[in-house]
Amino acid sequence: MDIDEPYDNNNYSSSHGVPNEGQDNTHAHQFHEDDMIDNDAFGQAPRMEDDDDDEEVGLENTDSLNTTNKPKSSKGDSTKQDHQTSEGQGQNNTSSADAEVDWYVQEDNNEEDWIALKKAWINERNSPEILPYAGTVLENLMELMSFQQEAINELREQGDPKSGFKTIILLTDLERIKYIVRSYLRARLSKLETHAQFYLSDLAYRNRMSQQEIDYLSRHVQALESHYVDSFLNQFPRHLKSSIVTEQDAEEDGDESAALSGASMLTKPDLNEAVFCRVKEEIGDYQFGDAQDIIYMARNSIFITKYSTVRHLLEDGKVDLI
Amino acid sequence: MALSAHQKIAFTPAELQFLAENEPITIVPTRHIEKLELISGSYGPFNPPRKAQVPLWLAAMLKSSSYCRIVPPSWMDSENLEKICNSEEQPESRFSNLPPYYIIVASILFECAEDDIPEAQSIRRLLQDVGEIRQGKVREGLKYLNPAQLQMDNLSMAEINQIRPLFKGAFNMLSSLADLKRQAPFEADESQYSQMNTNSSLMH
Repeated sequence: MDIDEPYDNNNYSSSHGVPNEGQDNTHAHQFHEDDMIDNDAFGQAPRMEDDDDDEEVGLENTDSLNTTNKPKSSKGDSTKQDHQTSEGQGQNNTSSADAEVDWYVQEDNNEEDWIALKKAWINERNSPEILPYAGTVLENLMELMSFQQEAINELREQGDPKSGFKTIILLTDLERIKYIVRSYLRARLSKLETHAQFYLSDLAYRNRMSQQEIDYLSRHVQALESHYVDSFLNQFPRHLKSSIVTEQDAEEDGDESAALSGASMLTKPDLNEAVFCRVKEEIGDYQFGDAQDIIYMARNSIFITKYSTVRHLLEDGKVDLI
Repeated sequence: MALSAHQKIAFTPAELQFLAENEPITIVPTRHIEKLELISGSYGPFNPPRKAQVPLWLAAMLKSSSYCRIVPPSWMDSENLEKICNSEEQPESRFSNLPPYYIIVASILFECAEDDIPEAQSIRRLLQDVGEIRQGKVREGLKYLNPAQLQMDNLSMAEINQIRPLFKGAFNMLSSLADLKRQAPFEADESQYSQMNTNSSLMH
């Protein structure tokens, strides 16, 4: 079906054998007893994989793709996995060998752009430092969103009152994606503003930022500095004046003491901050920082630990912050 | 500011609900609905009485306009919850394996589709019990907190979010105390003070 095809509300009506009016639970109950899932038509659809290079992404290519993602039955039988290997620290494992449902398997195998952005958002919100910018994913989503907006506009222009419900669903979906995009960008901005000068002065971190973020942050720092100078720094003796600015600025002034104190005023994110993380793939025995304990990190085990301990696991995509 | 003070520490309830609404749920359409091409995936076409899997927010929308009936998730069953409740109550027991958003998913379902949940009353009560028992266990877990790590498998997102401020604060305090202990007493004093000075600089 093409997205701009007029939405035929007759399809909602009783012509397909389902009574529109006077519907009651008897009918509903019958459906339930049939108890079946059509995997071909439905099971795969929610876990569609978007092809990034495809203009029609998410709109046309529906049933052919996605062989890697297993449809999950309503009972979750197909996703049962035994991960009893983890021994709780503090909570001892009393139940022995019952297989358990892996609630995360569906999402972990899903590579759609919006899922990737949702994860990036959650990670960003929980990590003390700025993480690499999810540029490609955002670009793809922006393209999809403008495409979808056009489709919605067309639906509206047609003014067909019957397509109202579909328009509402499409709009809700669009707004939800916009919400993730906004939340993601805000989470980053909040962190960037907190340690603006540090992030700007560190090349490794600059590479994690988008050009817009760098531009914004430079202006932010400039505004802040001129505000400080105007409001009090210009009243200070010369050797204290430059101490608020970055190390390099102070060095350029040839003021050594200012250079030193300037360096000490640069606030940095605290990489030893506590984070909660979930293990996405079996890691095995892992040493937590400089502590003596070696812990077995099984899939889906959850830890609270120092960010610096799991930092490189996060970079490798082996854990997610939660 | 880009984030509110609360958002810097934990997720807001609204944000958690938003995340939970993306969880998949099975519906039984009661009318034919054409295929929906959404950014978050393609769903349908829906032909009653064939079950289909959609995100919770879509299910709630369809349900509120009587386009579908929602099939409660398999864990939302009074027998299953009774079992979970019992095993949670065992001393030294670990957390049972409930979905990451179980509390929120349940509350959304009770709100929008209570008529589709058999034994809704007892399930509601059992979920409340399970939640309270787990909350008690989480608080017990605080005892085991150490400067390196603490494992707490199967905690749900809402539960983690709830304990986040307390556990984070306690953990940060423990690890900075451990750092102090490792250093020579005098050195420790000095570095701690200089760090404090940095953090309370004019930039904040």
